[in-house]
Amino acid sequence: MPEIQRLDSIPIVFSTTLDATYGLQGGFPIHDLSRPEVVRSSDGAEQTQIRYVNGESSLDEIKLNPFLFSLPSAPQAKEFFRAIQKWEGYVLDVGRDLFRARLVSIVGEGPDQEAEIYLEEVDPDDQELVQPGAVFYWTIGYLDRPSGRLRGSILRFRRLPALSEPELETARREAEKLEGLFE
Amino acid sequence: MSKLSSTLSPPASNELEISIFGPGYGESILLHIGNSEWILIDSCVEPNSGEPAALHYLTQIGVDVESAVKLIVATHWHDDHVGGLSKVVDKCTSANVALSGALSIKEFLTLVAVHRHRAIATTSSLKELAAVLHTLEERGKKGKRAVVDRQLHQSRIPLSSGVAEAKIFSVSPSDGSLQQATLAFTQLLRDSDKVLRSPTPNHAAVVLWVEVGRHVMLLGADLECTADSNRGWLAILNDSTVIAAREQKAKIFKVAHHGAKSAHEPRVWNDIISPEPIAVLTPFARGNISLPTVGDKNRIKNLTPSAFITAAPREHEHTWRNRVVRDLVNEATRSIRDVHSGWGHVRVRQTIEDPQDNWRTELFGDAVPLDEVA
Repeated sequence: MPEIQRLDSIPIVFSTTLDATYGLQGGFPIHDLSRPEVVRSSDGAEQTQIRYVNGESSLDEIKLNPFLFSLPSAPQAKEFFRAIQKWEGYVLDVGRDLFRARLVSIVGEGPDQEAEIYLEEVDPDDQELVQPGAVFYWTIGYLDRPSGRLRGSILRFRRLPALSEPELETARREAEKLEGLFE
Repeated sequence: MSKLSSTLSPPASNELEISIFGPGYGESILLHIGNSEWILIDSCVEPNSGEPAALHYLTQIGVDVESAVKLIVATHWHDDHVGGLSKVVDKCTSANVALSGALSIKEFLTLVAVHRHRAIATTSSLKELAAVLHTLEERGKKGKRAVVDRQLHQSRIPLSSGVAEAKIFSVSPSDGSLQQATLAFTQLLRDSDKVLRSPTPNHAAVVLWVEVGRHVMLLGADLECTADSNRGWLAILNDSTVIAAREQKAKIFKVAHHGAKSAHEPRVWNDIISPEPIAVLTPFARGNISLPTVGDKNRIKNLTPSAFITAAPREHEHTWRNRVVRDLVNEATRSIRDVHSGWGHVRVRQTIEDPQDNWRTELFGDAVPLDEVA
C-alpha cells in the first residue's frame, strides 16, 4: 500500500460530503464545500481526484484508487459543527413517510438501535438514495458560529461510484491471490 | 435444568458442552468436545462488554483461547453471524478457520477485494470477513472450505475408560447452492454502484454434524428450505453421504434460522434428529421481522418439550442521557428502540462416556424455555 502524501494538512477539518461518504468522524467547516481538492499518493502512480460541481456540496466524482486520503489546506472555519452523537445507519425498509433503519453509535452514547426516521429529515439531494441496504451517517450536535450556537441534526447518505473496469480488473487479480488462502 | 445468574465454571475434561449465545440480533456457538478443545461457530457481540460473546465467556471461565480454540467456522455472510468474528480469529491464534464454501469462490473474493479499497460501512459484515482473510494472509495459514461432506476437525479425546472420537463435518452448502451463490455475487459486482446487501434467502450456510463418542449434534446455522432438491435442507437429506452413513440421530439441534418456518423441513426432525431432542434457538429482530413468530414457537414446542431460546424477543426504549440528542431524535423519528433488548446464553453439558442421555441444561441471562415466551 502506498503512503499518502498529505499535501497540506489541517486538523480535524472534513467536508460534509466526505464525512457523509466515508464516515469520517469529527467536525467540519460549513462554508468550505466549494473548493476543488486533489489528493496524491506518495508513489505518484495512484491519485485520488475529488471534484465538486459549481461550489455545491454534492460529490460529483470520486476516483479513489487506492486506499487512503487526506485533505489539502483550507481556510480556518468560522463556523464549526461539533458532533455530540453520531450514528452509522443502514436502511432496512422504506415506507411512504418514513424509513426504518439500524443505527450503530460511532460517537456518543448507546447500544445498537432501530429507528423509524421521517423521510423529510433526509437532504433532498439524497432522497433517491434511500433504499434498503443504503448506508448513511446521522450526526447531532452544535453549530458554533460567530453569531451564536445552534443545535442541529444532519443526515447524509453515502454515494458509491460505479466500479471502473481497471478497478474491477485489479480486484479480480487480488481475488485470485485470495483464492490461494484456502486449502 | 437450573437457572443460574453468574456462576460460570469450565466443563470437565470429559464433558461435552454446547453453549449458544444470542442477543436480539446475533448468534454464536461454542462447543467443548472434551480435553479442553473448543470449536467456535459464528460470532456476535456481548452487549455489555462489547467483546465477541464466545471470547467473553471463555475468558470468564479461564480458558486460554490462544491454544484451546481449535476451529472457527463462519457459516455464512449475514450481519448477525459475523459480529466480532475478525477479533475472534485474531485472538485464537492456533485455530483453523473454515468459511462457507460460498465465501471462498472467486466472485465473493472479488467483492472483498473491491471493498477493501472502498470506504464501506464500519459495521459491514463484509468488512469483518475481509479482516478475517487478512489475518489468514498475515499468518500464512490456509483456511478450510466448508462444503457438503467435508470433515473440518477430528480429535481423539482421552477418557478414563479409553478414547472417544470427535468429528465435525460440514454437510452443506451443496454444489447447487454454491452455483446459486456465484450468480448472486456476480450480480452484486454488476450492481457496484448500488447498495451492497448479502444475498437472501441463504441456501449456502454451513450446517454442521458433530459426533463426540456416541453423542451427536446438528447445528442448523441459517440454512433455509427450497423446493429445489439440489439446495438447502433437501440437498442435505438427499445427497450428503455423512448424513446417509450416520449411526446415531442428533440429540441436540440448534434450530435453523431462528426457528423460521422457511427453515423448517419436517424430514430433518423425523429422519436425522432424535425424538424430543434438546432444541435451542436464538431470536432475530430486524425491521418488521421478528423471529421466532408465535407460529414458529408453537410448531417447535409441539416437536419437543425441551426447547430453549437465548432471549425472548421484546422491545426496549432507550433512555437518553443527553437532552439535546433526545429532543432532536424525538423530532426526527416516529420510534426508536434498543436492538439488544435481551442477552442470554443456553448451555448444555453431557459426560462423554455416559452412554445415556443425561444432558444438563443451564440458562443464563435472558435465556428461557421456549414455552415461557409469551
